[in-house]
Amino acid sequence: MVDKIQEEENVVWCPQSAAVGPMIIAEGNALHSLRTRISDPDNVLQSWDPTLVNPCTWFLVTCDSNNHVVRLDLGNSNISGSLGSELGELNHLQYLELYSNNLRGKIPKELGKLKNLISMDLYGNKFEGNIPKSFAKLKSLRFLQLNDNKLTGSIPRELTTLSDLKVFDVSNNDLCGTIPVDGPFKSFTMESFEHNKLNGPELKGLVPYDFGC
Amino acid sequence: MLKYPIFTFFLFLPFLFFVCLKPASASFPEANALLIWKATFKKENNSILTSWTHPKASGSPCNWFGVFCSIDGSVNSLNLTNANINATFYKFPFSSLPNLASIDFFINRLFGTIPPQIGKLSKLVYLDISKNQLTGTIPSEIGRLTSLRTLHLVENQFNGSIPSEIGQLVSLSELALYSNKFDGSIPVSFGNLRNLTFLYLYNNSLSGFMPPEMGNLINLVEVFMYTNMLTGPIPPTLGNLNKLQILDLFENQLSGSIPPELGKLKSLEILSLANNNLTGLIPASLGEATGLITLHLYANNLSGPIPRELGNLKSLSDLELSENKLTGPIPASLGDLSNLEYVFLRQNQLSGPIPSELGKLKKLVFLEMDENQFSGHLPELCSGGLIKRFTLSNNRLSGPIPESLKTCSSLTRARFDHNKFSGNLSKEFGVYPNLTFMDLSDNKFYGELSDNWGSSKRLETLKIAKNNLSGSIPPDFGNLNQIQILNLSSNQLCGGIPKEIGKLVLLLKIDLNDNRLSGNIPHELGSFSSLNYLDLSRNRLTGPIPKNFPNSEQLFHLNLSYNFLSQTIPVQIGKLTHLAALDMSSNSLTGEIPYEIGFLSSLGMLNLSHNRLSGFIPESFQKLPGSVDIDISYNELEGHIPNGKPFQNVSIEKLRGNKGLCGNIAGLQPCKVPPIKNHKIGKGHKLILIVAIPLIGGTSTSICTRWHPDHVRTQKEEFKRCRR
Repeated sequence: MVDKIQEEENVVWCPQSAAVGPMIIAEGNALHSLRTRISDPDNVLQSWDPTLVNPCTWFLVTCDSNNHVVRLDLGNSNISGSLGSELGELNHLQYLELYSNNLRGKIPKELGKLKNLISMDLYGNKFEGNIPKSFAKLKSLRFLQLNDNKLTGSIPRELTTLSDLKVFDVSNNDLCGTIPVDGPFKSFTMESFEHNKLNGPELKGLVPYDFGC
Repeated sequence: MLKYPIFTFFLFLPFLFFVCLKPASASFPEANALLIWKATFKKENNSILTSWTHPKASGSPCNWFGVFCSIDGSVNSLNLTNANINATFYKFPFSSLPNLASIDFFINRLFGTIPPQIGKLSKLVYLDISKNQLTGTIPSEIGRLTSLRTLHLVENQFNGSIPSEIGQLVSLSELALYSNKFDGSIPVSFGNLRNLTFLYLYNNSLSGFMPPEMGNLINLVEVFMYTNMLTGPIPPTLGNLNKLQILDLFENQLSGSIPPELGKLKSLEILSLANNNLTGLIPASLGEATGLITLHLYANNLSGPIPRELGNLKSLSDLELSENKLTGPIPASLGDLSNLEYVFLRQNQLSGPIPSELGKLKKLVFLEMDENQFSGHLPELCSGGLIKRFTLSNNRLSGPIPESLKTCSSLTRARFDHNKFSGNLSKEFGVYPNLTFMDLSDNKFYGELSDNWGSSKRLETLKIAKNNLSGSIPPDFGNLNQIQILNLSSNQLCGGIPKEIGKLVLLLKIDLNDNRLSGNIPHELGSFSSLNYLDLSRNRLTGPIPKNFPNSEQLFHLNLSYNFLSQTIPVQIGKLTHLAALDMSSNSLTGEIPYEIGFLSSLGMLNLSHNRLSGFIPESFQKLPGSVDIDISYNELEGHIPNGKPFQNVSIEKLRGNKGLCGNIAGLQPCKVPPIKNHKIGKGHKLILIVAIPLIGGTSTSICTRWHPDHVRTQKEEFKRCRR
């Protein structure tokens, strides 16, 4: 695409990225958006070349046989910045590994669109704001680890509908309200919730309350 | 004499007055009007406009920053580029600046809408309010600015349709509306803008058809309308635009065929119709547009052949026809396009051999023709020594690699994978100092891996899977210190895994499976801290799994199955908290399953079948994710199946062939005695081991010779052949 910026007499042409290759599919676009948004001092994303036809040869990206991104392995990569809505476009994503970095800002609600997601590891960052209610749509989710962040608000009741959820950890945050007890939450130990401001398990039979939240 | 000077003084006085006050009387109201507007500006750290105050002497604003006047002292131009002005136009003196000819407010923080009063600036020739935060629609009164030659509304938040009144701006030469939210159709009245030279409408939401009346705009030099939602055909009348140099319609929803009339455009240098819904043939007449430098037709539904007439486009340097349904061969005439630097023909149904004439292209830098049906042998292609990206994967090409590619030292990224290339690999390729990516997988290369590869020091990805390679992995591979992905699977490589591989600290993925590698897993492989994926399965590796192995907490896939690994599973394995798949099946592993395996909290698949593991299944397996697929069949395990989700729905196939497993599972004998609590590894365990060894040791050798009679002999032979 050509960008024309007119500055007095000089016309500055930005190089046409189309000149060096075909257009990339939407998933590559999404990942490229992510790359421009975050800071990457160790250059772990150096191979993320947007002029390639798809992101399947990019390091830390794993695709299936149909060239759809199924894994994103950016754990422990010294990246910082915040996430945007773009990751929600990775429809076939199964493993979202962003743990142990310096990511901050809110967890985008668009992550709730990842209906094939099996594992979401955002632990060990500086994420703030609420756990999105949209996570209730992650019907394939088995592992959800959001511990060691700065999340606030309550644990959305809607997460009790995630029948495949096996591992859940929100410890070491600033969550408040009560701990759900239905569905998969029956089997989670108290360690999954410790070091928050939670008011203990939801009392069944009474109107659920989340005061202070 | 004295009386006359006084007289003349009084005679001249009115003139003095006239000369002094005339500028003031013309520009004082203008200054005032500008100050009224300035008063609405939001306070910013704006020292730029400190000059905008009532001047004490003349009342003229002509010395103010950004204000320019004509000889008669009237404001004719305002240039406030990048002045950090945060204001609206609502109090702008549209009626008080009668001579204003030029407004340049490029890059400020102007917001709100353009008032209809804009139509009062009848002398306006130049209007640029680009890169602000303006909203709303363009008022139809804009049509009154009949002197306007340049209109730039770029990079704001304007919306709505482009008013048809723009068609009244008959002096208009440059119209830039790009990067806004304009929708609706391009007005038919545009056809009246006879002086229009530059038309930039890109990056909006414009829809509807391109008006054929655009063919009247014979002064057009550049048309950029990319990234909109235009539909319908490309008007053939565009063929009348003799001066047109750039036509960029990339990324719209244009349909129908490419009009052959575009071939008449002798001045055309850049033509992009890429990423639309165009169908039909590439017109042969495009070969007549001999000024073409860039031709992008990719990502459409074009069919038929590449016309040989394109060989007449002698200035062509960038040819991109990828992602269409083109058939037939590459015309030999393309070899005449001596200026070609970029050739993209990928993802079509092109066939036949690659013409040797392409070897004449000395300036070639990118050549990407993957995913077609090309066949035959490659001609010499890197004769200019400049090719950086070379992609031919997924075709039906065969034969050896030509000499010019062997010595093509400019290569940075090369893909030959999924073809039928053959030849002795160590002779086919040389040293590539700039190569970062090389994929030769799925071909018929034979021979050995040469030391050369270690000299291509920038390699980050090297894949030569699925060939007929023999010999051993050279220790020189340890020099590839940038390598992150190494895949040599499905060959006949033999010998040991060189310990030098342990130096390659950036490795993310190692795939050596399905070879004849022998010897021990070097403990140096335990040093990788970033490794994600390790597959050494289906080899002849012996000895223990190194104790420190693997050391990378990011590992999500570990496959050591189908080897001859012995001794115990290292307890370090419990550190791999991100491991999704663990397969150590079909080895000779002994000892107990470490309870640390229960720490593998991400495990989706665990296969320890066909080993000699003994003792009990650790209770810690209860902690494994409930959905894990476990296979521990054909070992020497005994005791009860632990409770918990992992074993709830397990079938007997995954448990059979053990010594004495019991539990409440169909096909398994129920436990006779109360379940024995599994002890952690401690004194008790050691005792059992000491007692058991003579028994197990005695039986195991006889089992070995019974089950693997040729095993030991074959391995020794392999080792001899592999010694270099």
